[in-house]
Amino acid sequence: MSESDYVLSKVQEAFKAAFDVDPQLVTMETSASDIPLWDSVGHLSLASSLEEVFGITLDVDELMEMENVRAIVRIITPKLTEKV
Amino acid sequence: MSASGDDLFSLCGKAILVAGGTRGIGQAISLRFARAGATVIANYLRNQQAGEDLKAIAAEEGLAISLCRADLTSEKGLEQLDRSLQEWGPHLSGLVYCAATGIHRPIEELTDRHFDWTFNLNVRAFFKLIKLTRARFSKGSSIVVMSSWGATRALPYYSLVGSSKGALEALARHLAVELAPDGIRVNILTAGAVLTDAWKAMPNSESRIAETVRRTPAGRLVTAEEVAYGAQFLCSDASAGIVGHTLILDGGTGIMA
Repeated sequence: MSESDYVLSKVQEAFKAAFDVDPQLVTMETSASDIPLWDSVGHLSLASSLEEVFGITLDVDELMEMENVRAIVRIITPKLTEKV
Repeated sequence: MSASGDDLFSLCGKAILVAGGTRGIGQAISLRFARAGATVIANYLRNQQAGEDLKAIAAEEGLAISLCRADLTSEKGLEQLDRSLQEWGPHLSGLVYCAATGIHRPIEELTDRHFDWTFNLNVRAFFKLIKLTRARFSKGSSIVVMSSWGATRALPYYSLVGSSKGALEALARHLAVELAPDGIRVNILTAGAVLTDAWKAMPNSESRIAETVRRTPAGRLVTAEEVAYGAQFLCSDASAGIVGHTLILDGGTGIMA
């Protein structure tokens, strides 16, 4: 499994925890418009789930940039390298 | 007062900023205001698609809605908004603060960071926005903050959002007193359970909606459009005598024992 596939699978896990959506429906192209619960309130639930699933901390700027799954993967991937 | 008689509910000639104005209730307010004749600037942050969707509706209907993407919790974002307002015109005749976030968890699972995230947008950003825009409001202007039941009632896992809305309401009432002598009115609009896509997408949505409907004298959830009409009233000259009031738009749920 490539690094991006691994990150995506964990992101799917976070989406499942935050929004109870089928992980398979979460792809790199998924954005807030595709998931009705992903509104401003849902966004914080998602951020918390991502922090818990990956064991990372997201700052406010990063939170604000996370407008779709591709951006989430882009923000999280270097943080995993920092952890190693 | 710029309008008279039947025109009192019109928003013609008014320039109104809707913070959090591209999705859900905020989107309904932006559209309602523009349809009532206002020039609207809808602020948003993350959801570019929602902004595009609103822009498309505005173009189709010939509505005067501009978009401004800016993070109200940051200095940079506020500066960006200030620049957009500057380009837009020198005066504002209204502001509706719909921007909100939060996290629904039991207290044991909530952290300082959850608190900061929630209060930064729901309370502090409104405070900063008022400081930024205060000089732009002319006599006859109206400021409306969107609140929720959680400001005064305890709801499951709602402690952070509810307490932030309580703080927002208190701030709005103090501002109402402070700004009233300058002819600027501040009021609060509390929406009950509003039928949105988010509600429909919740687990067990049908039973949740049915339970809320059961407790609502009106026998249904209120709609975002109905909330928008309430906001229009509070921003129109028809409500010129209303200051520091909380208008509850919940189909009557709040009066039930």
